[in-house]
Amino acid sequence: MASVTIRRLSKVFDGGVQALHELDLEVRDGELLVLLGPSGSGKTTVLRCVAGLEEPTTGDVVIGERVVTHAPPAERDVAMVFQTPALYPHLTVRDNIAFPLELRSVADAQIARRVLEAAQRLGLESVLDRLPAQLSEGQRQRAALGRAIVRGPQAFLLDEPLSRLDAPLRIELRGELLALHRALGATMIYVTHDQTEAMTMGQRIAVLHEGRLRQVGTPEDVYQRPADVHVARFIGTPGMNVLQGRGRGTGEEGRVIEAGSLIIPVELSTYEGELQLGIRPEFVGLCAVDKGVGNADVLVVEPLGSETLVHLNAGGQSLVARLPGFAEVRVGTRVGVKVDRRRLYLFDAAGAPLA
Amino acid sequence: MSSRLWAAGATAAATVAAVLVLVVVTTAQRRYERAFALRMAATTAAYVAAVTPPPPPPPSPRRVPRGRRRAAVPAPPPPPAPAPQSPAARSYDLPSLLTQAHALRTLPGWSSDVEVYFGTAPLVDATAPPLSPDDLPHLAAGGRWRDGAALVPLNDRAGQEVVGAVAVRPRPVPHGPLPGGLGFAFPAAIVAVGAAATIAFRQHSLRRGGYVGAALLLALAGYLDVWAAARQSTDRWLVDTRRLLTEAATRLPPPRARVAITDLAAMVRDGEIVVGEPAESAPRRVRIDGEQRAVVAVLIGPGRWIELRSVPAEAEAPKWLILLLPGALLGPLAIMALRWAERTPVRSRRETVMAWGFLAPAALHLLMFTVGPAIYAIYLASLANFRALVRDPLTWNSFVTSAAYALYVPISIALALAVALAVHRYRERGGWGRRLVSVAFLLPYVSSVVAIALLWQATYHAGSLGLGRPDWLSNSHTALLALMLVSIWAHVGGQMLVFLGGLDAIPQAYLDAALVDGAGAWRRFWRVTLPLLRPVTWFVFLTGVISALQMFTLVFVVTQGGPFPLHATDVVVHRIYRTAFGPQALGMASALALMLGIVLLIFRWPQLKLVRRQERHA
Amino acid sequence: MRRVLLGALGVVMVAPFLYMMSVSFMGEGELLRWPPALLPASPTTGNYAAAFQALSYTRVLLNTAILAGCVMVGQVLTSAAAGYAFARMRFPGRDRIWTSLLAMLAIPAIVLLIPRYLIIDALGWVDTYPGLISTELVSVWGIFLMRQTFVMLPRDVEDAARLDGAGEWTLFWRVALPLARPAVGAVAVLAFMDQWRNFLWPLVVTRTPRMEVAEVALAHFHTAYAANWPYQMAAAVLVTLPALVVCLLAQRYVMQGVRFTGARVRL
Ligand SMILES: Nc1ncnc2c1ncn2[C@@H]1O[C@H](COP(=O)(O)OP(=O)(O)OP(=O)(O)O)[C@@H](O)[C@H]1O
Ligand SMILES: [Mg+2]
Repeated sequence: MASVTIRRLSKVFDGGVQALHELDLEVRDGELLVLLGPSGSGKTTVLRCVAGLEEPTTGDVVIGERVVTHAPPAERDVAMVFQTPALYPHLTVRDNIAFPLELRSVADAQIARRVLEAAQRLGLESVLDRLPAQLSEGQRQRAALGRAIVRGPQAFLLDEPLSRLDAPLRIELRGELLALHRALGATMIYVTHDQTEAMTMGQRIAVLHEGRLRQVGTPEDVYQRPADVHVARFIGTPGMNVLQGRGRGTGEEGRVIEAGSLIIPVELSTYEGELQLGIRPEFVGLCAVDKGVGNADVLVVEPLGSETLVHLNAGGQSLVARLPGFAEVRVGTRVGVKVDRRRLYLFDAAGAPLA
Repeated sequence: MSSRLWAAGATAAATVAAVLVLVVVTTAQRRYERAFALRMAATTAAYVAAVTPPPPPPPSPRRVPRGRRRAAVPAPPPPPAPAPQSPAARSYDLPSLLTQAHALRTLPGWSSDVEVYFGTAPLVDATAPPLSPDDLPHLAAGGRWRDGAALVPLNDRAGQEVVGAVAVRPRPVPHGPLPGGLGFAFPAAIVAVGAAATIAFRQHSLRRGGYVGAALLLALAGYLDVWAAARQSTDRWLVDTRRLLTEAATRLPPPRARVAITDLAAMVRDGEIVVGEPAESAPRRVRIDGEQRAVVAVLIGPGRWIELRSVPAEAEAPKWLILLLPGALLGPLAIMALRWAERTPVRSRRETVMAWGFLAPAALHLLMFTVGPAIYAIYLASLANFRALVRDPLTWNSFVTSAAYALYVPISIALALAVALAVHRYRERGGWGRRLVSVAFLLPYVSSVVAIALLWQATYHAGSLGLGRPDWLSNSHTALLALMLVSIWAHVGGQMLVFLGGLDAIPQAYLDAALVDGAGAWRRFWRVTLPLLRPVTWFVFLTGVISALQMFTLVFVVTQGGPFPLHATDVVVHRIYRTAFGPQALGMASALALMLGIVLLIFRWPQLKLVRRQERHA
Repeated sequence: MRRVLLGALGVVMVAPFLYMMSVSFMGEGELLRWPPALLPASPTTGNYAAAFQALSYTRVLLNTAILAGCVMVGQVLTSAAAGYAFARMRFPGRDRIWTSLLAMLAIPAIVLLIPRYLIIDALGWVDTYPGLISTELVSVWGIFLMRQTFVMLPRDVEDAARLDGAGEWTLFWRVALPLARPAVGAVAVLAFMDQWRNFLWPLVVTRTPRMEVAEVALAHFHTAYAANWPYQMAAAVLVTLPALVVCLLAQRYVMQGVRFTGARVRL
């Protein structure tokens, strides 16, 4: 196993699309790092650059001690599991798993032993002689994993391996993956756009947005201390409310931020002008009209059982409130809005956090 | 790699290209010089044969030659005289031969050295090494180049046997304005290499076009040199032959009192001699009957002028461009490749090299057997051939016949479509019954075409017996129809299967939607089925016409283009075949093929567009 | 009703072949009567024995098999390799080269016939196997079909193979080509059938009976024994039979080929 380091990695595709901007990332030896980001943010591109399937435009990829930026995939000794199982349709599961070993001219007896070992680990013994077309979706993804682990690579690159599975199977396999990680002590980069998955799996999470790395930290870090407005918006279900506001120094209560129909008092001494104000839905509450920081119209009510999500329109700014249990709110009515002033996040107009 | 290394590579590439061009130029020059020498030697041999009298009837074969020799030739040591019975001695009078040979050496204005061998012995320069006895039989096959001289056989008077040889060693003459015989090519090569080096080492100073220009200049300069050498080879021959002819006019042995043009013409088989007018002695180029000729005026007697004509060698010179242009353009190409390599990451470079590795077999093959021949075909088919073809009624007949024959295509398609629509929904899926029917329909697609032709000929033949008349195939009015019938039979099954496939591919949902919209069966067919089937139908139609216009085997086997004299089934490809491999008029056949190709293009073009559209959908 | 129609058409298709078989067993005069005999009065295999001899059947069959076999292998390999490069590799000018390749489809074989003959002649290959075979070794349609197929193969599988340690060659040979097996089959069968029935080129480029392929031999046989139909039908059956066997064995591919070529017979 080895660490994986990415230095100032940029990738511009032939069409001129810049998928990655100066990415710096270090994955420690034996760590499971989750790469999280919305669709199209460049996650797959990062993995492909690490794997050697794409050549970076600038920057370096280091695996262990070795700079492999321009080495072909075969020389990097990393394994990748794709969004699709990508099994060789014309080979049986056994031959699929054996393929990488065969290419490395491992002795036959050893191949057989290692394939069996991997199959046992993944519960594939009974289907070894089937073709991929004869497997279930979960089995196929397991077989793909088997092909990855059988050669004991320096690092695993997992590109949304579970996204095509249905929910229960996904949870089951997620557990297995974690167990596998622990058992192998493997360095893994796990790509997902599902932030629940990210929060439950990652020792550290790297958040990617529009080809830029926004934050790297523990799940708690990225949730509690988002590095910028994009991270804040993306993490959490639903994500943080972000209101476009304006700081103003008037009023007896000290400084306030006006955002739509809301006037929110803040303890902020230095800032005037355009800014963005973030608040998680669970810290937004409802009250009688004119009793809170402002009024808003109820657009949609989503009762989820344990909680209710209320979508509001406050003078052109939309925000979501998460209320416990079934809340008695009617669509179309006007309500007052409360916020927990200690849980506010302030970002400047460009999205960087204010002190 | 550093940019200096790339620059050095570019310069090296340009140098290689320049050297290549120079090598081609020198090769061409040498070839033309040799061609001249061989031609001159042949003319000289003919001259010697014509002017040397036969030996006198032998009172004493030993004495007579000796006396004559003393009289005619002052200096030379006695040649090893062949045995008097030898064919050489039987044919020519040796002393006269000696005289003639020496006269040649001293002929004023001649640009070559001549040696005449009597048997294997040199007559002029007796110290020169003799030929080996093996040489003469070898020479019988034709002239050859040896040790810087053209060696051609000297035949006996009857022209039957080789009795000696004539060697012509051309004296070097400068080919161009520069020392060393190199003309424009040499300075141009220096300029080209210099340009490449300048561009390579100071990349910003010149545009990329700069070196391509230099390379083209180099090719042009090389071509000029080759052209000049070609011209010179013809001119030298004309001038030297002119001297020979004048000489021959005075020397032709009695009984000829006055030389006849035909006697002289026999000496210059690869040229022409006509009665001419007084003119300058320098060779000229004139157009005769639309063809370029090199001519020179020759005075063969008091007031008697003839004109010596030859096909100018420079007319053939453009073929050297085939070597010169690629040679010169190799430089810019290599430089472009180097430039590309310099600014391309290692892996793309590797991928490109791999890709060309995969492509190479197909690419080379296509260049050699498709692109090259296509260009060659255009070259073969000269304008004159087109003109002749247009005037030939058989050409038009063949095109009309082919067009008429192709009319079977819409008929068979309509038939196939009708049957496909009729049976489509009711076909049993799978099962050996369907399989068997499919096989039946595919039979004409796999069985031997000649066999199909034969079996139909047999069928027509058998069918005609009852009528007691010649069968359809022997009747000018029905022969083509009979062939069309065969074609319909051969195609309809497969076309129907293709249409069935197309019908299967129409999603039922479309038809259902139309049904819901209240469309009747007829409207459903016109508005849904047919439009969706259109690409398939078009494709089948276009390929059908294209292959119909190229039909050959059927005609070749069954009717040979007949019944004659109407050429009732003489389709274009058959005409091409007859033209090409009958009287060997390959150029004419090529022109005809090109005409057909142009017609085919009308159908090929939409077909390719159809294919490309499909490709984009895929 | 419809089934009858289909069946009737099938009979129309097969009847001439059956008649060919039937005549091939007849005596020489039987076809010259009216009404012509449908079935041989006293079946004889003598025609076959004679035709076998006169055609020098084994030699001719061997030549045809060599031609068709070599061209098949050649076309499959070159088409697959070139198609793969066009579908899966990036190199400068790829799309332009592809377009010009497609443009080459517009050059009809008949235009190439004479120059190709002259080239083969210049190489001294007239009346030899290389002359017979070499011009046919690459098919632009084949390249087209293979590229189509390779373009549609899932890219992930290929990437997976790259990570598994496969180089370009392994990728092509052990991953892409097996996945493209149906297309390979179609190209192979198409090439085989086309060459089995190739007539004009072998006619032009062969001189001696020693080098003749079946079609040409049959045509010459026809000229030699013009009036003896049973004789000729026996020869025709002999020449058709091998192709028929191939058709039955590879019916699916033949059908694919028919569809791909727009149902054309090079008559
Ligand atoms: N081969 C390519 N050529 C051009 N642009 C590409 C290519 N591959 C990806 N892109 C672009 O690069 C950006 C990042 O793509 P990437 O596939 O890395 O996103 P992703 O984060 O993996 O998305 P998803 O979650 O949907 O898989 C996208 O805008 C995409 O359009
Ligand atoms: Mg992705």
